[in-house]
Amino acid sequence: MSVKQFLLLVIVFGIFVLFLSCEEPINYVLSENSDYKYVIEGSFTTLFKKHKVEISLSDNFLNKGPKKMVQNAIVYINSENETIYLQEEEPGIYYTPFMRAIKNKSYELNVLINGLHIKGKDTVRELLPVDSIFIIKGKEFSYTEQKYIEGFFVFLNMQEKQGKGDCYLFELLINNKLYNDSLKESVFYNDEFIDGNYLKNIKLFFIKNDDLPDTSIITVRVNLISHKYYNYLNELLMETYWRGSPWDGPSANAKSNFGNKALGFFYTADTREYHLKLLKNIE
Amino acid sequence: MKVIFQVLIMVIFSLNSLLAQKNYTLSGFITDDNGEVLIGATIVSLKNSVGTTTNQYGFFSITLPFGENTLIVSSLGYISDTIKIFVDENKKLNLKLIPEVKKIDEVVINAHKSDENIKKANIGLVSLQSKTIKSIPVVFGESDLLKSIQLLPGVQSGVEGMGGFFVRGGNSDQNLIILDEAVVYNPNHLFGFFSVFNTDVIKNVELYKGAIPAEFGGRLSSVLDVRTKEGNLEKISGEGGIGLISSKISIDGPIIKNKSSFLISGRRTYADLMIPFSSDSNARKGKFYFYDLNTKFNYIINEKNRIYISGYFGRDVNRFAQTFKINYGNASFTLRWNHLFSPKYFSNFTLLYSNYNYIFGSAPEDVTRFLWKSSITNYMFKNDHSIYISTKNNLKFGLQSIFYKLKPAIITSEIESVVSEFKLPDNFAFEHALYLSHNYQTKNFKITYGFRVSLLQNIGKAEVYKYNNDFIVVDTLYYPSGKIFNYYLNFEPRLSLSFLINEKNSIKLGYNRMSQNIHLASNSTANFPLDIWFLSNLNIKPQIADQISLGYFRNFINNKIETSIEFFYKNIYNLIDFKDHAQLMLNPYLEGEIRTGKGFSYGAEFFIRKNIGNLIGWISYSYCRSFRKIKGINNDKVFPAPFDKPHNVSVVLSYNFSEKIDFSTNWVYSSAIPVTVPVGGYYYYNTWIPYFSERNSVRIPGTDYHRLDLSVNIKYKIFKLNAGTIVSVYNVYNRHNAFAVYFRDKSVSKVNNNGDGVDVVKLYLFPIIPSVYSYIKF
Repeated sequence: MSVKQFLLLVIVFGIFVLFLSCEEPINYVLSENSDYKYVIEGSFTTLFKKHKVEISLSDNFLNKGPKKMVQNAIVYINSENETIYLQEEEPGIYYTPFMRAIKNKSYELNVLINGLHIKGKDTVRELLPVDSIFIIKGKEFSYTEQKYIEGFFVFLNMQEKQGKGDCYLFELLINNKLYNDSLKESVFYNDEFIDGNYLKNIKLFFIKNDDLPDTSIITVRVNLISHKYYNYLNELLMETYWRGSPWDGPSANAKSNFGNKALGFFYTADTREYHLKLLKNIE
Repeated sequence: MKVIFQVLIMVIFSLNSLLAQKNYTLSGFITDDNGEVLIGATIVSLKNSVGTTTNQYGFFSITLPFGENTLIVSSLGYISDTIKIFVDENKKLNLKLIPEVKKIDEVVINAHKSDENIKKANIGLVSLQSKTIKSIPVVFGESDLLKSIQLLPGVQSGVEGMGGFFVRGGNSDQNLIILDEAVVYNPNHLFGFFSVFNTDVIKNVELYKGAIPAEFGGRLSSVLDVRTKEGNLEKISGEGGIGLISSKISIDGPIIKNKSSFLISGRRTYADLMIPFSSDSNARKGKFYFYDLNTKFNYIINEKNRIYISGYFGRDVNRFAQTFKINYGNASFTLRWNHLFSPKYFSNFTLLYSNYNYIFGSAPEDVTRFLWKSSITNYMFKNDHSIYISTKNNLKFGLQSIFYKLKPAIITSEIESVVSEFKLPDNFAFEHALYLSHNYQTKNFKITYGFRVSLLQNIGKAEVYKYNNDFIVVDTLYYPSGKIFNYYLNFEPRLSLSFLINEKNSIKLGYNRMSQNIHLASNSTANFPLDIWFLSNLNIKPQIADQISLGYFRNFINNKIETSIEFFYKNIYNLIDFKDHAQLMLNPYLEGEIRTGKGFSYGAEFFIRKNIGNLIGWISYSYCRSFRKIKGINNDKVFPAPFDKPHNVSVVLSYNFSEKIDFSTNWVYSSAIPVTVPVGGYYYYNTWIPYFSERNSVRIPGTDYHRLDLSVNIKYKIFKLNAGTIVSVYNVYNRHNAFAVYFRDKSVSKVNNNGDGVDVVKLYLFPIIPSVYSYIKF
């Protein structure tokens, strides 16, 4: 999320705190659409691991249900001098071998399915290392529960790289399991208002006490993503959690890097992980 | 001798004849009994069946032949006056009209000029008086100009409760809103729930929907011309009122009786006065209020010269506990000098200043603390001339020159913060215009034709980006201070025709071409205080609109009932829209978000109005469609505009029950707005995402808008002063009109968060709302 989006969200939120807005369901049946589209969600980063691409199908909007995975696709990643074939290890989920992406290289995902050849490209840009990550115990006010919640704040100190266009996606893992694992919990920024500045004591996450075992390994994953992927995440939020005020622009599809052939996004990133051990009950 | 006598007789008769054909001009000002000039008052010669109307300063000029004559002087809401006069020289004739009151009532409209509807030349012009506006019940019981004009045919509202309006399929930034000739860039308080216009100081409002006269320009769709009172020249007077949301007080009176007067009026909300009593310590640090201040001074120097000075200042102050603040408001100043070169030659010189600015800032202790400022300022000079050549002919011409200074955004942090200073380049421009129009009328025919020429000049200091066909910046051009680096010249013809079939029927025709060089960066139907204006430049051409309108006007039952039907068609070229997910805020490459194309709208407006009797009011129905075709949007296919609401009905009625009680009611209906709905969904990042097809392709059943409001005005005396209390109920049958419609995953829906799936949800704002407002006049 950019500072700009944060500002806008705060304004909109504040306005609706002011007014006692009321909601009401509408009994409306959207027309069935049998023209389903392929949905591709994939990434390739500089972490040494098996990188994943998931392929599913879209469905009728009001009938949200289990993901419809697409099997038996041919999936490979091309770069300038190699081709990496992915293997389907679970239904609709395709993995690379253990490997890592190379900085400053472009990678193109190719999916062949039912006579359709879908392509999506992205480039890895170089990330500066983070100076420090630290955790402080505290309380955060929850607007949904209307009370203060005990937990831990995760902070970051780092030098932002000079030159506009850097975008960051932050992920939090607790004992190797992704904690902010949905779009509404995603944390991402661009450097529009902070370019080249030293980012001191930037709050990234709040972890509720109840979500922590007594001892945890907290991993903060910092990804330098492309501006296109940053825009894609923004547009997804504009069509989901950020929609609902009279000042919204018209609805539209988030722009994937697969053209009109598929939904979703294939992104690359320079990624670093930082680990901390957290003992919950020590002051 | 006999021959000499005959020649003498012939000479005498010839002389008499010559004298009888000689014309003289009667000119002057028509005012009410307090010295307020009356705009649009009519003066008609019964003998010659010719007439004229007063201009914006109450001035008239009528040329009549030598001899006895009878003049009928009339104006909406005033008792007509009949004057017998012998016309034998040019005469100064300052006339006063007395307000017509029904018993002690002053809220009800009556004494409408009986056939003005038929005879007046302008098609698409609607006049509203303060009394009308005050009699219409609106939300929270506060009378409101913008809410009132939304009830007129051809005018649509945007979002429930908000102030934006759309005229004949045009966007909300295509309306020129002027207050005593100064442009108002954001006419809204409290994010659009109230307007900046204090109805206690409004004298006259004119809305031009079509056939816009040549003296107006700069916007495509309409002109809302709001004039405030000058101040009572006879005695000190005033009024005040207390409502649920705000209170106001106005005082006006003479400085020198019959020569100079003042007016001062203020309004403020006071909900924030309750905040210190909140149990929440955070809430106690909040501030939420708005205020308006209107001031006016006028001075009649002599018979030929008058000076008017007026000012407006208004502000919204919002501070949300320790998180952020957002303050915004308008300021304007107008200095006008009327000068009569002769009884037939009236001129006006005006200097104007308008400003709109806002500040948005975070909490000072926040690590991302910032202060964001933006403003638009214009300085303007206007010079208007009217020459009343004869009663059949008059000429208007003039010029105006505006200097624009736009500061779209500057973000600073006064103390150490991670947020850098950020500035969007300032924009400067001149916009000049010349206009000329001629009005010619006979007994049954009136024509006004003319043109306006507008010239926009973009001036440095400027930083202009060059884009490729994919809207990616490929170069930056720098222009030094004062350099004119671009211009646009537009020729705008205007025409208005009226054929009087007989005393009860007329047909009118109008045409105008308008150009617009300044635009609002907004892609929603609700005005947002942080929206910015931007100018046409090297990358953005002016928007141009052609509108033609045709109307038939008919009165019934001795002019007690007026009816009309009007048709219009409007074409817009270089129409500005924004790409999907456009980033309009703080974007230095805003032009890259713009997509241009064409728009067209058409419709019909049916209007029936009763102005006389205990029951007065109007019923209107309009059918209006508005479409766009923009390259790069909706796959280049035609789509409905976001405010396209085909059917609109307004019923506005007022009944004078007794000397002490009036009832008023409104009922409004409009079609549902078109929305873009999902045709599928998919998972990404563990979230169900909607997938859309065509823009604005669906109107969701049940989201059409209708509402009934009722009010009763109970009049009484307090210490012999006229006072009253208005009790009103907004949305009497508690209709849950949609404020916004969206599609929400059940897991985050407040409505029904059990299980999987998606809800279609409407957000509604105003249930049934009773309110009370008390007033007093002195």
